[in-house]
Amino acid sequence: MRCKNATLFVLLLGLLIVPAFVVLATAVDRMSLCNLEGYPGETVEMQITLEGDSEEERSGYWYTHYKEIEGDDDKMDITAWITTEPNDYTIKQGETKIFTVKIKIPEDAQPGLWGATSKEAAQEGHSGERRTYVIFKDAITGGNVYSGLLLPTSINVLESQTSPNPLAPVINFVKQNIVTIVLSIIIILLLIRPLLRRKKQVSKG
Amino acid sequence: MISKINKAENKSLILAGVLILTATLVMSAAVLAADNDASQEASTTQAATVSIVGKVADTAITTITFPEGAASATISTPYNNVDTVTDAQVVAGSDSEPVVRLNNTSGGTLQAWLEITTWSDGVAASEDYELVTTATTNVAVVDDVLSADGNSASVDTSVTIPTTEYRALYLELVLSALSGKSGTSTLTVLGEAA
Repeated sequence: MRCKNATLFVLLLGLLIVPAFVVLATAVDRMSLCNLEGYPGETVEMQITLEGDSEEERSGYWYTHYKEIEGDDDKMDITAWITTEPNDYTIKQGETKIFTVKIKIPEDAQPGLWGATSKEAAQEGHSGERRTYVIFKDAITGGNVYSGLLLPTSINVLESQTSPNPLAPVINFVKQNIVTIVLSIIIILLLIRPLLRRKKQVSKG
Repeated sequence: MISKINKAENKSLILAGVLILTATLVMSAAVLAADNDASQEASTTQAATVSIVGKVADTAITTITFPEGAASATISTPYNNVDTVTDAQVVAGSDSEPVVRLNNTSGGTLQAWLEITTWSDGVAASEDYELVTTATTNVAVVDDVLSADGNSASVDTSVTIPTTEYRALYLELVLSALSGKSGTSTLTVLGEAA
């Protein structure tokens, strides 16, 4: 009898000590891809990392979804602009995988916000303003029950005439390093001058 | 004459040397400035997919099976591979039990979406769901439409699952009028930041 009580006590104690086991699936490093910026004709790229938290290997893939709401204009569905590389994946516990979401803005896209009705769409309590989503989902390999996340996606298409000057990086570099560049030029000139003089002297001699 | 040239050369070289020193100092200052740039980091709470687990145990489930039924019958006793056929879903006015539970392991509240792919072989006429708190045990009717025709569908349930909490999912399938058929479909539970 005593032995039974002791066993029961140990079992109950064990239940208290053993931490709650939490089944995790797949984690992602961002919950939205909103307010990206780009010019017509440009391809905007974003990297997303998935981390496998499930004990079992999971197989999944990426796709897009448009949440159609009556009265939407044609700026809300940008699913055709979006691709994800790689599209299919398998992920194990502790493994991380990086994916690139590419949004190719058509040449004729009008300026403005596309994919959501407002710039606040990514914020808490603004799900009603989201229209286009990038989705990943996976299931335990061989299973028929998937789990995934919807990542709202929007992009602000900028006016094409304000597209960046291709020399802008060079100009910025010169601006930022003007002192170094001027000093380098003076040093080079000062070093070259005596050499030229010596050359002249030799040629005269 | 030669000494004048040498003096000028020396002057130039000294000046160049001074400037090189200055430039070195300027560059190292720039490097130091760069090193001192404060980097900013921000992190949000971890986002993870919803865990689909058994009726009682927190064991991830792999499949949900609807048992065989007569043509046009309503099948309300699906079961998962963890609880098995011996502990199927119960739809009743009291002591109802879901087919699976959904657990939000994300850092924030998630809004649940459900998706199914088209049932193969035309086996299903429609599929419905109920998504309730686990404390709700009087689910006698499962009538929220998941797919009105057995074809692929995506539904925003508008049900939110706060972080760490569970919700109970009930499913019901109406078989098509075709007899002697069996088919498959996949179920997806999606989470959206609320």
